[in-house]
This record gives sequence, structure tokens and C-alpha cells, in this order.
Amino acid sequence: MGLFKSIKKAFKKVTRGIKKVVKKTVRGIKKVVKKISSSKILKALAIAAAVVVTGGAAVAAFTGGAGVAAGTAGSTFANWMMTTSAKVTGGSLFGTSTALARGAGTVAKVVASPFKAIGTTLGSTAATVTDFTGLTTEAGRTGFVPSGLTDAEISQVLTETPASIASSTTSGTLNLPTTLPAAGPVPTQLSTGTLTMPTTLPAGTSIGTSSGVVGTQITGGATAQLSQTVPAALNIDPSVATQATQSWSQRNPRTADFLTNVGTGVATSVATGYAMQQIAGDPEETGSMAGLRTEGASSFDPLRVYAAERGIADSDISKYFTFGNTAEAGNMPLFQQQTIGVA
Amino acid sequence: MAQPTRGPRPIVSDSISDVAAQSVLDGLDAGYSIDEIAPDNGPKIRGEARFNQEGLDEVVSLSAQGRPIPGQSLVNDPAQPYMWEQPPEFANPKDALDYMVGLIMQPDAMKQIVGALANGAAVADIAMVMLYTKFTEGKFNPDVLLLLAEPVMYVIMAIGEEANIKYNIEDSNDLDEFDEDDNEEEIEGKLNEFRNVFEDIKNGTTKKGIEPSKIQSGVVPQNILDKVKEQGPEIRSLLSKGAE
Repeated sequence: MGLFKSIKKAFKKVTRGIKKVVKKTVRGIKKVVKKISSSKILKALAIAAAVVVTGGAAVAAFTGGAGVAAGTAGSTFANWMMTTSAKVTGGSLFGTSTALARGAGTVAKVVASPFKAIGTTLGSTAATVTDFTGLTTEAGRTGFVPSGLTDAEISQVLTETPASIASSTTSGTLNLPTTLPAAGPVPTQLSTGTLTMPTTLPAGTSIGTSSGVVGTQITGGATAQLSQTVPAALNIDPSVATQATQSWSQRNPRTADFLTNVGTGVATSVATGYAMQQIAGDPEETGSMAGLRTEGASSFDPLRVYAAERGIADSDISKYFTFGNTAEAGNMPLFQQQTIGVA
Repeated sequence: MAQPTRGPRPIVSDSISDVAAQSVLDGLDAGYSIDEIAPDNGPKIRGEARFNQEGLDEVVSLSAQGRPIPGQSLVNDPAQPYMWEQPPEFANPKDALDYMVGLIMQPDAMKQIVGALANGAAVADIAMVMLYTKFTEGKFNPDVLLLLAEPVMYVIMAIGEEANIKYNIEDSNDLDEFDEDDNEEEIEGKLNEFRNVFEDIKNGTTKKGIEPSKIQSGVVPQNILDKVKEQGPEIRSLLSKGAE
């Protein structure tokens, strides 16, 4: 069996195992907590597992717990669970003195370390993306709300997205300065908090004619504008930056198409098998026919050529032997050649 | 919203399923109700796989395009190996998981996943396609791929739950498997209840010392007894033809 087939087989085994474990777990919870539907438990399990896997970084808001600190009124199960994640990853659960603690520490390491990695790095990568969609918020991810803000202010912040902020900026509702000062703000003014925003342009300054900061007029939505202005500010080639910010589905259009179109309407196992082949091919394949595989046209070509040379119809080709000691194959039939007579 | 009575207890396990189960039980014990842990968002969208002739035709035509010639890989230039034949980008499962979750959490990817789940694609299949693609791109080796299967599946399941979809886990039609279990359990429970009640009546009767032979005549009014006599052998078999 080739490598690819082995992977597929192993994956099937793993997924079957996971399903069994999920079922077993659902049953286990049902025994403890009576009269709960299995689908409800499944949902609870999925939420809990996702919080564990991501360290709570991206799905803390899945249960509507965005912006609520863990342990406070209104905090959700996900918020509450984040405390667990923090405890486990922080290593405060296990001492180092006893053998049991050492043993537990080893097990915890295996389980907890991925969450630690996720919890720290996801905050700056994927989680910001989910914040952008409004699915999560920073407060939801981090599990705390900075003090000093009123509830109204917090809810205002939570409803804002980068897109809305960008559109507010362009429409001028953020009251940003429209003119530049004649001289820059004095440092002492900054430290004493008396910074006054500019109200007039210095003599001879014109935004429209500047070739440094404002080069070309960028059109399109907030995302389109940001995708050009940010790389320009960072001195990065916009095409490279665009490529880097492309989503998985954009970079893998074939797989994404499969997921939305092919993989959903037909027998999934067949489609998955096909997708596997299309994605990478299977160099280990040694001629087995699987799923809906049919004989390709190219496989018939040698026979067609053979038939054409001999004036045989394609459909009648099975009547003519192409092997063995036959007249069609160019050989004399056996035992019909002249033999030496025996007196 | 209930206020938890305590903080979460430490959990040590080598399986994410087990950790999730223990977390849920711990949450329930700490004062959360199951509705708070898994809020009800109304009726779910059934992610049923519907037969689609167009899709099937597409798969058939694509699969008929042929495969690599047997032994093709043996004639490849060793100096130009495939991506998966080179050292993987992520040797550490932690980094690989971080990378995968980062990909899944992309808005576009989420949209595709939700769409696929709603159209009946199974969680396992989606996870497999994603992981397999990344493996062929040389991101991680097969061992790491298998280690990532469970967490990635759970993340996809959580997305499905958040989108309020009733999704398939492994096959294209295991949507109602859990509900079927529920129904079986309900029937079993009702039967047990009936048996218990029956048993109770039986026990209660014997406890009171009531025996059919000791029942005195005259307890049932005569007119009712006459009626029973009139009806006679009216009690028919369930298999009998019934009244003409």
C-alpha cells in the first residue's frame, strides 16, 4: 500500500475513533446529567473542545461571552473555561516536588503545550482576523475588559470593526484634523496634556499636490484601501502583501470549490477520494481502480490504432485476438505445418 | 446568567474529547446550566447531503481524466522532490496546530466551512481535505497530520455549532444518529417506567394480602357481571379478522 492510501486509511481510523469517543462522552455526560438531549451535549462538547484547542483565544465569544471578564456576572462558560486554560498553561497547577506532580506535569505538558502556543500566538494572528469579522472581540479573546470604561463605551467599542472605523475616517465622523499646523506640537505640550489639534494649514501647504505621502487616489472599500495604504506605509510591495493576506480558500481555490460544490452534493467518500487525487496526485498508485474511476480515452488509443491498421471496427475488436499464436497475430497455427512423414 | 460558585478544576488528560467532557461536567458542577454552556439558538439548519446529478456528473468526468502512470514517481528526478518528500515546515505539532487554526479562523475559510457543513459535507471529510492539502504542501508530516485530526475536527464542529447547523461528523448521513440514540433511550426509559409501575402494583397487591382466590363474591354489582356474561367470549385474538 502506498503512502497516500495509508494516510487516508489511518485518517479514517482516527475519525472513526473520534466519533466513537464523542458518542461515548455524550453517553457519559448523560449518565451524570439526566434529561439532556444528545445534540445539546454535543454542542457543549464542541464549544469546550474548541476553547481548549485554541486556548480560548478565538472562540471565547462563541457562546456570546464577548467583553465579559471571566468570573464576573454575565460571564459565559467559555470565559470561565479560559481560566482553566490559563492555569494549565501557566504551570501553576503542578508542583515539582512529588513524583505525582512530576507525572502530572508531564501529562499536562502533552495536553497543554499546544494550547499555550495557540493562546499566545493566536492573539496576534488569527484572532485579529476573527475580530475583524465581528465574530470575536479582543475583550472576548483576552477575557478581560480594561477598567475605566463605561458599559456604553465598551459596547460602542465592541460593535466597532476596522471596516466601520475606516469608513468613519473617510467620511470624517471621527473629527480628525483636516488641516496641518504651521509648526509641530511642542513636546512639553504633549507631556502636560495640553495638546491642541491643528485647525489650519500652514501657508503654502496643499494636500492634493503632495507626492510623498499621498501618491495616488485609492478607491474601493475600506479593505481595498487598507490593503494598499498599509503595505505602502510599511514599504512592502502591495502584491506580496495581498498574497500574504489571502485566505486559505483564496490560495486553494480548487479545494474551496470542492468543499462548496462537489463535496456537498454527492457521496462524500467518493468526492473526498477524488479531491485527494486532484490535490496532489498519487505517485504511489499502481493501477487500482477506485470509486467512480472509469477507463479513460487514452487507455483505448493503442487498441484503436491497432484496429485502424487492420481495418477492424472498434466495437468488434474483442473478436480478434491480439495475442497468442493466431493468424491475426501473424503466426501460423500450431500443428498444421508440414511435418516429416514417417514411413 | 448564573454566577459560577467556584473556579474551574484542573484537568489532566491525554485526549481532547476527555478534557472537553470533564470541562462540561465541571462547568455544570460549578453552577452553569447546560443552556448556559450550550445556548439554544432556535431550530438548526439540517446539513443534509442532497443528491445532485450535476455534482455527480462532475465527479465522474473529473475522475475519468486518468491518474499517474504506475511507476511514474520512480522516474522523477531525485533532485526535485515533491513538497511532501522534503523536511516539513512544521516539525512541532503545536506550531502546526497554531497554523491550522489560524487558517480555519480566516473569514473566507469559515464561510466555506459553514457552507460545506450546511450542504452535508462531514466534519471528518473537511478536516481531512484541509490537513491533507497542507501535508501535500509540505507543511507537516503524516504523523503530525494524524495528531491534528482531533483538534481540527473539534474546531470545525464548534464553527458548525456556532452557525447553528446540524452537521454530519463522519458519514454523509449520520445527522440523526445522536437523536436516534435519544429516541431509543426514551423508549427504553418508558418501558422501564411501565415495568416498574407494574411491579409496584404487583408488590402492593401481595403486600396487602389480596389474593384472587380470597376475593369474596358480591363485590362486583350483579348487573355488570350479567353484562360480562352476555358478551361472553367477545375477547378476540389480535389476529382475528374482526367484525364483518
